[in-house]
Amino acid sequence: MATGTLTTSTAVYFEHVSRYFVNPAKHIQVRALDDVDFGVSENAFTSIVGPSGCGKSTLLNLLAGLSFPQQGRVLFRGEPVTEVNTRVGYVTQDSNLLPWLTVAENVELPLEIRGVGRRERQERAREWIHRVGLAGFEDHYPHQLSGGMQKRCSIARTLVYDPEIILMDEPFGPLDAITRMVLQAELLRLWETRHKTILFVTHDLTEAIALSDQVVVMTRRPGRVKAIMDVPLERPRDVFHIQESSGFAAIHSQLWEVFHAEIEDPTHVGGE
Amino acid sequence: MPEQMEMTMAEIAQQVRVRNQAIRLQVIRILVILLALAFWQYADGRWIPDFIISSPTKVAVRLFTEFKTGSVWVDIAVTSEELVLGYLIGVVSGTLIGLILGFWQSAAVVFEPLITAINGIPKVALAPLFLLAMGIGIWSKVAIAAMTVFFVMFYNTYLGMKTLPEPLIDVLRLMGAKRPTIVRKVVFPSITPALLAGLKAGVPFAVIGVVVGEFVAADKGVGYQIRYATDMYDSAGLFAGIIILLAMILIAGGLLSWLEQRALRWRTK
Ligand SMILES: Nc1ncnc2c1ncn2[C@@H]1O[C@H](COP(=O)(O)OP(=O)(O)OP(=O)(O)O)[C@@H](O)[C@H]1O
Ligand SMILES: [Mg+2]
Repeated sequence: MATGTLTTSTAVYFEHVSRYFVNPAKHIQVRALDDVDFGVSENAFTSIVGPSGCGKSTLLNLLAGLSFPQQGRVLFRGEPVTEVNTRVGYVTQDSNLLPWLTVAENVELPLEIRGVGRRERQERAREWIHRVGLAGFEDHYPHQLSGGMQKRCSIARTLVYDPEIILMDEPFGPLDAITRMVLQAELLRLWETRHKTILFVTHDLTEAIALSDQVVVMTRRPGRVKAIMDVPLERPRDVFHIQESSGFAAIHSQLWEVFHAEIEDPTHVGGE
Repeated sequence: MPEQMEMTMAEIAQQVRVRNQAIRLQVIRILVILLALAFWQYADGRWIPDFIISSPTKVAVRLFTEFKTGSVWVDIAVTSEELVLGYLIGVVSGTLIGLILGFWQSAAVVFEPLITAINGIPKVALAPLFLLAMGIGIWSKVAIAAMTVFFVMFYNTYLGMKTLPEPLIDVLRLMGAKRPTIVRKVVFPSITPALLAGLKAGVPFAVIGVVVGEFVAADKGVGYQIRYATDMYDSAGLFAGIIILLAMILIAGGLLSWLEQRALRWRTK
């Protein structure tokens, strides 16, 4: 458990972070995150699970430097995040593709921005479009793709430029079970071979266990860290048969206990 | 192309049905126009005095002779020149000011209400002022047209800038894009529909501006000819002028539609 420790191998640290959203017109204050405090080690795969609206996307936005906490600090490799964090690659919850660019142009965009030459750009984009199963759709515009295909395009667009740290907000949510597992396997392979640090938001406990070193369980809004569970399953993992691996069932039921209480507990009172 | 398949018979039949439907619609439209023309022809001199409405045949004959003798070309040239200049000046200035105020919020706070207030003045009422200031030549008409088009273009651009897709801008910033790249990749494409709408809406405004200017004071131009025909109780000449204006608007509209289709290929067909 990383709580309270800040070592040289800490990639990201949320230091007593609180974030509210104020609606001045209605004098309503939504407390999204309340004193969140945990760290993520370099090269670790961390999943974040929690009920809808508990502040998971807000947490990733803080790390990306798209918004800032009212209290606490977000440390990225020891430095507080004070502006847009161009060292993270962020697969946002919405696909956010540029509707006027084709699939190929969307995937090439970050490479173009980073000054990669045309030939290499096309080569790398082609490779990633292939990996996420969109070969043949290079010249399609986003509105011509299904929701799941848009999501896969958005994943390709982030992974293609090989960012140091990858944030993913329910990247496999709208995918069917098979495609989902194929992409999970692809992601794990990437993570293992390129030594990435990944923060991964999901609603799917099986997915969280299959992929992660640690799973952060958040409470209902205002989001706090309810528990951080280590997943000691051996690597490399086979996502297709993860449920049969020894130890999985125990971890799953333990995680389910914690998570379940958060969803069902009728006595839980929100922070507003 | 993925999964490109042969069209089935049912799909071909469906396409044929859609085509037939479109043809039927066209035929009905033409019939309606013919009917209106027939009505016009019949009403002339019977129900409504000839000096008011003339008739389709008289107007056609008039147009024919006007083009044959070539007298009308001078007027078309003058009016076109005023239109094109006024339109371009209005479009460029409206777009520029819209972009500047869109980018620069502190300037927008000062100038946007002022522009809105000025826009409240009926532009047509300012026509005599422009003629006083700039004389009877083309520039007074150019100025009136430019002013009317300016407001249309300004509001379209400015509102487009107010509704920029923030999440897409964030995506580019995360990728490390600087301001010029964001403008090129997100800002311009996302305001393109609003700009095109402004370009299209601007055409009739430019025509109104120019024609009003020519009504008030001019010695050439289609608007001047309409005004002159009216003074002479020459309804055939009046309608001939209106039809020439209509043709000019249709040609401009056609060009802009073509441009729009090219620029918005990425949108749902
Ligand atoms: N820009 C914003 N303005 C106002 N309130 C916001 C804003 N962004 C998020 N919130 C509020 O903060 C809370 C947390 O939102 P967030 O999107 O982080 O939840 P989440 O955990 O990602 O949920 P989900 O699993 O449904 O995606 C919500 O109650 C939401 O209404
Ligand atoms: Mg979310």
